Order: sequence, then C-alpha cells, then structure tokens
Amino acid sequence: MSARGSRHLLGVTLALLVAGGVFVLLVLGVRSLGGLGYNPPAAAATTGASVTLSIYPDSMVCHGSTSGAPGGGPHPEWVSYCPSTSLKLPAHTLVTITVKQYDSASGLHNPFFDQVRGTVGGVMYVNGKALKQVTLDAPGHTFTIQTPPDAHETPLFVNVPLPGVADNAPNAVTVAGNQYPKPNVIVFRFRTGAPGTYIWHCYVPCGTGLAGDGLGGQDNFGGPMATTGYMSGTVTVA
Amino acid sequence: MSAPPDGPVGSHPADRPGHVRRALTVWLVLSVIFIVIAVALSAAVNPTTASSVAGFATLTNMIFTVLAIPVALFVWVFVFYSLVVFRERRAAGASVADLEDGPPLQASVGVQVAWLGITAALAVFLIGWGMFGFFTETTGASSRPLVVEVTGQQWLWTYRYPSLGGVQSTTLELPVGRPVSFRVTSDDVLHGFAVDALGVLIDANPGQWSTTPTVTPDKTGDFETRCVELCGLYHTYMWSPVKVVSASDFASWVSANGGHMDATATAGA
Repeated sequence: MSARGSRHLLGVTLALLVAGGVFVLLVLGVRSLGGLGYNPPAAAATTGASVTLSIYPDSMVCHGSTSGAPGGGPHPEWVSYCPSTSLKLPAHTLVTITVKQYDSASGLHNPFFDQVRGTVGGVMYVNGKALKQVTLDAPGHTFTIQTPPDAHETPLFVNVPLPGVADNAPNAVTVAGNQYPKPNVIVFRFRTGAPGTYIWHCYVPCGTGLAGDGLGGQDNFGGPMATTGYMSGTVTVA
Repeated sequence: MSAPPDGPVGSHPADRPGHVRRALTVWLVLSVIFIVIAVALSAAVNPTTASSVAGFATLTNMIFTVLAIPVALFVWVFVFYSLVVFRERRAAGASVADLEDGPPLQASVGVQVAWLGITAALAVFLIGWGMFGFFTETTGASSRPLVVEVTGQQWLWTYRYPSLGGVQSTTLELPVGRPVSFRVTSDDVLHGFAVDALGVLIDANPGQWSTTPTVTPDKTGDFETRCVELCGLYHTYMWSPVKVVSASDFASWVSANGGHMDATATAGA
C-alpha cells in the first residue's frame, strides 16, 4: 500500500473511532436519563397502595456497605429516605403514606411548603393529631410530589411538611444497629391520577454546601438534596 | 496571472468572465428561497403569543432572521463558489510544489464602501429596532401592575400574590387585560423563569429579587412556564401551568384560594 493510501486508511480509522466514541457517550447519556439517578444499592421499589418510609439523619441504614452491614456507605453523614426512593403506586387509587421521621427540624426557606397540600382533607396526622400547617421552622423535611411536564391533564401535587423531632431527643430506638430518637409518625392519604412517572423531593434545605453565604445564605441544597436516592426520587403510577 | 499547469492561458475557469454575476445570481435565488422558508416556518416554530411583548419578540425574531439570511448567504455563496470554481487542479504527476499562487486580490473602493455601508445600516437598524421595542415595553407600562412574586426552587416554581392577601400557588393564574410584573428569586441555585407566551424571560438568582418589565396578557388560554437555566437533576420537570382567565374567573380563583382582590382590580384597572 502506498504512503498516501496508508494515511487515508489511518484517517478513516481514527474518524471511525472518534465517531464510535461519540456514539457510545450519547447512548450512555440517554440511558442515564431513564434511571433518573442513583438509588440505594439493595433497595427494591416500594410498591402498593400503602407505603411506609423512614427518614434518617444519616444514610447508615439504606446506604451502608454493599455487603448489607450498616456503616461504611458512600456518604454516611447524608440524610436519607429509606427503604427506597423509587415508589410504585396504583393509578386512580387512594393511597396511604406513612413516614417515620427520625431527623430533627431544619426549617424551610420557602413558606409555600409549610402547608399540607393535595392530601385528603388537606391534612396530615402527626402522631395521630391532624394538622394542616406547621410553622416555618418546624419541618425536618417535606415529602412533595410534582407532576411531569407531559401530564397536563392529570396534575398531581402533594406537599406534606414533616415535623422534626426535638434536637435534644434521646436515642430510643435501634434500626439496623443504629441508634435514633423516637420518630414522629406522619400519615397522609391522597388519590393518584393517571399512570405516569412523577418525581418527589424534599424542599427543606437539609443537604450540604452548594450556594454558601455569598449568595444570600441559601445553603445546604447540595449533597443529598442534589442526588437522587437520598432526598428525592420517582413515583411511578401504574 | 500564471497559466495553470494543466492547460494554456485562459482555459482555467478563473480566467473566464461573469463570475460575479453568476455568484450574485446564486446568492439572490438562495436568499429568496431561504427567506420564503423562514417566513413560512415562522408560525410553526415560534411560540404562541399572548401579549404584545411576546408578539414583538416573535416579530423581531422573524425580521432579524430575514435580514441575516442574505448576509450569511453572501459569505457562504462566495466562499463555496470560490472553492469550487477557482480550485487549482494539479496535473497528473505534478506535485504540490508545482502549483503557483493565483492572481493577487485587487482592492475595490466600491465593494468596500458598499460592504461597510450596508453592514453599518443593518447594525443601526437593529439597534434602533431594539431601542424602539424597549421604549414601547417601558414607557407605556402601568404604574400599578399586579405584582406576582415568583420563587424558583429545585425543582418547582411557586407563585405568591402579595397584593391579593398573599395567595400562593404552584399554578400561575393571571387575569386577561391586566398589566403584570414578576418579581423573581431563587431559594437555592440559579434558575431561569420563562413564559414564552408572554415574552417573559429573567434569571432567578438566589438571595436576590429581579423584576421584569410590565406585561399585559391579551389572550385567555393555557400556557406554560419553564426553567431555562440548567439547575440540577430534575431540571426538565421544573415547569408549571399558566392560566390566563377572565377577570371574574380570576377573582373567583383568588377567593377560592383564601385571598381577596385588591383596590386596583376592583377599580377595573
């Protein structure tokens, strides 16, 4: 083969390699959208018309080592929802969500989220007591479902501010070898709409870092607040 | 000019007359075709407009496109025409070293004056058009618009109407025919608040309030807001419905959400 032919062959080969690399990156990028991020390694989707979730001040229970033993997780200091952030609910059904809130209060920046919205009767039951609203500094977290852009005709919006336990509450329960205070138990009900994939999210800035004081003191929106599998996830209505 | 290596003087395409006329003809035909296509597609690609501001933005977009097409094509046509027609071809067995430079470019006062004059006129027109648009958006604005406070937070917009008893919602409800101004902020990271149908676009900055010029919805209907600043995992979910309704329907919605109409609305403003 002549020198000119060799150069052409080399050029074509390099072009094919670059094009293949770009194609692989595109495929990986598109596929990553489908999963909408990271989930606890061993947690299956929480399914049914009655769902129980727990919120811990760390991620020791659900994000521990891959062997299943608590501790040594990727971010043990991050707050977390357990056992899963992928919820599967039946369509057009009255569902009951029970949240065991082990974490203390952090408070809200946005007063919109201090009111219960979208539940049956606009109420939640905190340790058996019906409440429609809490003070701005009471929530440790929120459980807020919002509608995807392609579901205009069946909007689903649920917001429940979840009061935190007292800062000085003593550890009283053991979960998977970890000590936590006695949790607030919050129960609420809402009716699901048409099938679709919704997202849910905590609107209390309970994460780490991100904005800092230089931007109006809007801090703690990073870490678990910016990573699926901790304080946000999906609700698949089917 | 030296002779091309593969033929006598005068046989090369560059030596033949009429290049400018041919290139200008190609440029003119392509410009007309692309302008017709741009105007025809305008209705399909531009968002629905529900305010004079959005209408002006759409018109501006189309006018700027129509003006840009012949300018861009002028460059592209002459570049590609030159590449194709004036390309120096090597004779069989000749090396690159055998090629010679083409004839030097000659300055043309007329071309330079025309180029500078036309581009200057276009630039002045664009500046004047923008200033006219800004003038119409600001000088005719109502001094007492309905103020809506918009808060962006990963990944939801919330709306508060301070003059209507502090009504709050995740749906942007607006009365038709009433001037509106948006005060926009963010609780976490940078977001971008955009209502295409109203011609509204402004950054939502954490810890700061930004205010849009007044805009008046002139058409009832269902529209959308979207975040236009990549803001995290669920950025694509950060949208909310916009409902432009009649004044009476708006009053009913405010009442149903625990608020009350302000004096400006009661006076029929």
